[in-house]
Amino acid sequence: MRLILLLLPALLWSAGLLEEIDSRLQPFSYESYRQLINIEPDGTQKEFVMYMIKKDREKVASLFLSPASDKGRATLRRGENMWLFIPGIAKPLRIASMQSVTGGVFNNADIMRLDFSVEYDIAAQEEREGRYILQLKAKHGGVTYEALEMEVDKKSLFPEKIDCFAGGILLKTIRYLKPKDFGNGIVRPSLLETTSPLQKGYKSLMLFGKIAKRDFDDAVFTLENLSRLDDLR
Amino acid sequence: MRRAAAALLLAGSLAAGEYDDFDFDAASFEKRTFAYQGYLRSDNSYGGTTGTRLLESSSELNVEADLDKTPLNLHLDASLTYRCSDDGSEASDALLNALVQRFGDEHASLSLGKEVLRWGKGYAYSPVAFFERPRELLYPERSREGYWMAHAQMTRTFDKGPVANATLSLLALPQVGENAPLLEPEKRRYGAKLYLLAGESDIDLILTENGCGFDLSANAAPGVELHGEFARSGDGESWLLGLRYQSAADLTLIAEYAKRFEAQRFGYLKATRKEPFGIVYSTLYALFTRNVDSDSFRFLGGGTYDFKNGFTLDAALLRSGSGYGLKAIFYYYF
Repeated sequence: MRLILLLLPALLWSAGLLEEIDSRLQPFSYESYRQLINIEPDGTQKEFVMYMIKKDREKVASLFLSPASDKGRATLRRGENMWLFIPGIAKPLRIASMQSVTGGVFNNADIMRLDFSVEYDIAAQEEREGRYILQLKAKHGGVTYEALEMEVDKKSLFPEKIDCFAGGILLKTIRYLKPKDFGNGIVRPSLLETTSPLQKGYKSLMLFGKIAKRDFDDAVFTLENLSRLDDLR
Repeated sequence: MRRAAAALLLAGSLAAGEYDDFDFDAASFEKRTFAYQGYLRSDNSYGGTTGTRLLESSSELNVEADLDKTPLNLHLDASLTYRCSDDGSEASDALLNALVQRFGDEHASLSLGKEVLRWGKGYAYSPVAFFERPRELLYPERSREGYWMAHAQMTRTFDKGPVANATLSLLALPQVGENAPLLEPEKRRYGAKLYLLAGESDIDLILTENGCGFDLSANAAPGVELHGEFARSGDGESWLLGLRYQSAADLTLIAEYAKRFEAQRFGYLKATRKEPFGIVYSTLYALFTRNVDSDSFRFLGGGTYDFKNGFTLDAALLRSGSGYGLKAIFYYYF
């Protein structure tokens, strides 16, 4: 038993530490309800509520449920392709990962995040005070952040803090907080806090209200079905 | 394992003290049998861009309602509009869209009702929008009224090959009064569109009784999207070329050049900057259009601010060859 424990880090490394971190954070295919809160320096808040679904490692779709001015908007991500659909008003538009449909510190890539192992490789790894410190390097130039520094709790394999870099500049820091038992074996941080040195005093939060395993057909994640996400709820 | 999970939850809850008051109750957002939403819009303009000095005001109450009670699936989108100007006033109401019923699922479905279709990739104008009412260049999003139709849709996905997914849409439009713009001077009662996600590109191939066309949209580089359209019908040929650039600093540029069926060529340039000068939930924009054949132009420059309580203000300066105008548009979403 002790031997297995000693070998566990090496086993994880060989099996793919990033893949294991991904699998601890979210099921392979799931639905979730999330709240995004943008907080200004004076404490003023703007809130969004989204129904979000994910399948495989690179198919994500979301539907805005609140506020009223955004209700019905939907986004789709397939790998590096992202689209925004605004009901009744416009056709689906291709959108950029670095921009934000919600404003605040979260950008589109943060909200519709793919598995870490899809976009990054581990360039360096060390252990410090019960944590893995991982230096992640983007697999190609189309990834939103070219490098991440990720602090991961060794026991839970949950990220605790991620610094996101582009052009060698720290763009934002994401903290994973408040682990919660969502039932059916899903335990994960229920709150993500994002701050940026480029937007001092501002912060954005993402709260998970529900996350549950659910299988979806691939046809759900297509542009022509983007207007019909509400039918899945 | 259970003990480890409990310890983890306890450690996490202690570490997140500053957010103890933040909790999200997802149950209150579960889908309801009946739901509604809408907006109030007050559009006020003053100016002489049409050659005479006028004060115009237009107010719109829009309500969308959904009833989702198996097997019944109803969607209504209706507006009540009141316009007044120095010349007089008028009231009107319109059923913009009404999805009476949808059968099927994401693989194959049939929708019956009044539906707005947004075919094409152009922002200001789309040659292949055979089943859409004409758009106003400065406010293309105002064209929200659909046509009565039966709309079938079939989607297939592919694990291998250059095409990731394909959707075939088939339309049949009845000869009713509200579809009259499609029936005169030439009948347009049927249509088909094949959408393909091929590689990293969106492609549509379109066929109607008396016309055909295609459109294309693709990312040329991070933040740069290129799009184009071509259509041919009894009215002649029409085409559009465009690009959309989105910077990491939330600056968006849209540039389009098009030829309409009536041989008019025009250019369209719009720049939008979100959260300028660090003012969150605000947007500055500037829009310039020029008709090459009539050598006329229009400029619209202004800004929007979201008050975060459902209210949004859009204030703009309008300039054309015949004068200046001012616009103030208030929205309240509920």
